Amino acid sequence: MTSGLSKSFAGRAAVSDVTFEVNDGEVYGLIGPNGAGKTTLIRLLCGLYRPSAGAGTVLGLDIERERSLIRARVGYMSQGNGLYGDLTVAENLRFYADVYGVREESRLREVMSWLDLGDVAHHVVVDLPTGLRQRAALAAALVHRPQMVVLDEPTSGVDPLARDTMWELVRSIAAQGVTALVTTHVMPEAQRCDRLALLAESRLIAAGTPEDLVETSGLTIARVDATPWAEAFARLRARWPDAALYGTRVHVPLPQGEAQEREVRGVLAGLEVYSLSWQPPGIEDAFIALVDRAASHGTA
Amino acid sequence: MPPDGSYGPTSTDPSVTRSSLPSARRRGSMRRLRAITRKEFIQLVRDRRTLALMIGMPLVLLLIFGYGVRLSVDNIGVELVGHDSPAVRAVLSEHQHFRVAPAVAPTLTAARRDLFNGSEAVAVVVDALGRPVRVLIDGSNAFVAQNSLEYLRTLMSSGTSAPVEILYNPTLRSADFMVPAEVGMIMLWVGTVATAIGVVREREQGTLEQLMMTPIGKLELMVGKILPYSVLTLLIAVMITVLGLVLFRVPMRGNPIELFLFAIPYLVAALSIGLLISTVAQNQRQAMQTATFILLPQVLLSGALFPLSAIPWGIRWVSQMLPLTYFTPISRGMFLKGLGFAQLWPEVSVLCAMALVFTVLAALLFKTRLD
Amino acid sequence: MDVVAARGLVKSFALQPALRGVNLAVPSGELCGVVGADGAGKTTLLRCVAGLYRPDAGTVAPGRAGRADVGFCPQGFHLYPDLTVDENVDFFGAAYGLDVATRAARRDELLDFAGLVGHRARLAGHLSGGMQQKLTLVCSVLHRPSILLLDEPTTGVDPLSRRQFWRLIEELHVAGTTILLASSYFDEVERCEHVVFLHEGRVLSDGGVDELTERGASLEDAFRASLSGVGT
Repeated sequence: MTSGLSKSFAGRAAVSDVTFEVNDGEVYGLIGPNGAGKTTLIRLLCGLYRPSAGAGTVLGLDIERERSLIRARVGYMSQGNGLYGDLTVAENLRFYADVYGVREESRLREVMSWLDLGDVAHHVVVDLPTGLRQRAALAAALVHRPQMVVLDEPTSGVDPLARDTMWELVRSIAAQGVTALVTTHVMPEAQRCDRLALLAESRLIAAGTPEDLVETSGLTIARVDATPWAEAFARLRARWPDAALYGTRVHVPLPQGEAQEREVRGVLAGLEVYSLSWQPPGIEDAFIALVDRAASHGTA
Repeated sequence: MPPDGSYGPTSTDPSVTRSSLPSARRRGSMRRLRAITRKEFIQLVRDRRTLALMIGMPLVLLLIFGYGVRLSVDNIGVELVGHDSPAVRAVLSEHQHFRVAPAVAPTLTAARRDLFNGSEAVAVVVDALGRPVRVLIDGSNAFVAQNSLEYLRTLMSSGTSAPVEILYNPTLRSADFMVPAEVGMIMLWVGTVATAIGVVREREQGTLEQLMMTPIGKLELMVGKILPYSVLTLLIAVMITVLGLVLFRVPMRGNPIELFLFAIPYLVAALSIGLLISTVAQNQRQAMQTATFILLPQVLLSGALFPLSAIPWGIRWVSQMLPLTYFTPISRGMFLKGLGFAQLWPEVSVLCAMALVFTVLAALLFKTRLD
Repeated sequence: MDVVAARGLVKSFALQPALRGVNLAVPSGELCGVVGADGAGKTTLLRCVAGLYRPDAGTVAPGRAGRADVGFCPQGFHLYPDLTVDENVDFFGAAYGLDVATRAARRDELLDFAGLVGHRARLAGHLSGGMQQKLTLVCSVLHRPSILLLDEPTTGVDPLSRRQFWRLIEELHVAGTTILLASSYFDEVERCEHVVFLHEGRVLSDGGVDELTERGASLEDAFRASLSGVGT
């Protein structure tokens, strides 16, 4: 879908040489730390920025020459929500329907009932909790029957239960054949994408299914219960800076996994280790490892 | 769960096909324009605080200019020095602007002291024959001094010169003078600020980004933003005019419809300045500051408050670039003198040219992309 | 000894109950996480504990009387964006009544601890979100409180900054600080010794992570399970 896409602001690269492809009907996640270039990348795809180099297509349309056609076929939900805070949900949807040239009144009702917004249709948007506000913004992005939706941090500031609802909605949209391109920095959510691209410092450093990314990281987590826990933690942290405390248990991400058990026990010599077990890393551990690896390659 | 395929696109949707007919596109354009205008009105009505400011400030200004601030000064304290003279006293007292002190200051030193401590503003030295020979005026308030000087000149020379007749505003009422000027100032203020804030607020909220992703074109967005604020501005201008006519009995000697027509290029210029401000301001506070920076000198230099002749040549060229400089004579001329296009065409033409230039400039700088 | 405790805590705003009888006990040195949706009452609970709100009913400790020993890290960025990092830290040090020498020493020590030494002269408003959070934490522990209250400290912060922030929490925890943390991320409270599920002003259940996850595969599942338990 894109190849070698780059964008810089005042000589600083925000997106450099990014190439990736999204399949029809999949949920594709763009993940990465703040400032990695996620938002710049999707704005480039939507024609909101002019690329400094490279080219791309969205739904087979060129992002530079055919951006007006892209706009008509893509539903976009910006990070700042994009709804008018002082209008009601219904007024906002009506506005976007008019703007997109959607005439049928039934379409508004349809979208509102799918996203379960009927009860809040006449509430002013600022008065809604963030979860509902984001759901209303999603409704606005769907009003013109887009072939693809682009969602920039749809769950930012949303509480856990509403986050779950949001992802279920995204999955059900995709199940209807609408491609979804989603950015997020909340790692457990990334697991709900079909495929992911990991961005760090303007570059794409890894791409694939969540399982692929976890595997690429090559990590295994050692879970250590030892007494006294504070001493165990201090020693493990000194040896492996990524060691983290879970309650009184220490999680140590290890590149060689169980082969390093002797090493771990060596570090803990003299302490009472009453449990040492192994688990695959979460997507966040994998993410951090991949970013660190890319950074050390970059400086090397 | 929605029925199968219901989120998805339909191939028959006219807005999605590559070759939509021009007429269909035009209809779509009208619909989008209507959508923005309607949204803007809803927001305007809902934002009570801004609306109150937009309507309240002109009202306060109207009352200040109508009742409070006078550009003529009354009750100027005058005393005689040296000798009393019933003749001088009579001439001075005849004039409503002066209040003559009953006592006579014995010496020039005493008179200077009275001027110094502010108990009197003018001292007239009278010689033994009862003739005024010298006048002292407290210049620390230049405004009062200027007025006293003018009045005294007419008084002292009244014996010799021809009688003075004042035309168009015979009583020199400041309301007659100020209300027409205020109409121009208010249109500028409301038009510029409301438009600038209206666009910048969308930028701040992030809705501008969302709008850029819709099929809305640049012109639709600009016109859609300008239209509601033009209506608001014109309504406020009409309100000021009507209140001026009713409350302060300001005359309307020209054709009000004509004034309304001449106001349109002026309004377009003001709104385009608002759009220009919105292209440089990142948030509402910056927009407000930029607007103040542009509007305050405009009010001071345009001749609306101080006469153009009082503005030094060095900065007169600035005045000549300001729309208000041209609207003020139009407004005053029509209210007070009953002038029409025949006399005012130069000012009207300049305003039309300015409207065009500012609009083109705004259209060039107004971006529908983020970079 | 429970240094943070609430018993039958009730607090309403304009007749709208935010807390409907909350019991909480955090022993000294524990890291306790409160998780729940928006409007569950997390912020209200923390503010009551900090003594910023007077409870309508029930008791709370330390509350207002013990606030000298409490560090409170509110949600969002509440420092002066137009002051530099150094100036902010110095101002809050002075607000806690520390003398000039102590202030300077603690400032150096804590900025080093938070990895902000390289940014001392930058305006706080120009820092990244993650750095602002760390600065907020620094400013709330200048007076070396033994109790630290953190209100959603990592909301909107990316994974790398979150990891750095958690290192600071761990350091303080290992050093013996009692920490009460409100969060809306389940994977975050998983790192606490003790987890409290808060929902609509009530405690649904609480306990160690292992204890709670007996009811479901993950903490989130466990939360849902206790939620449906309330519903039926």
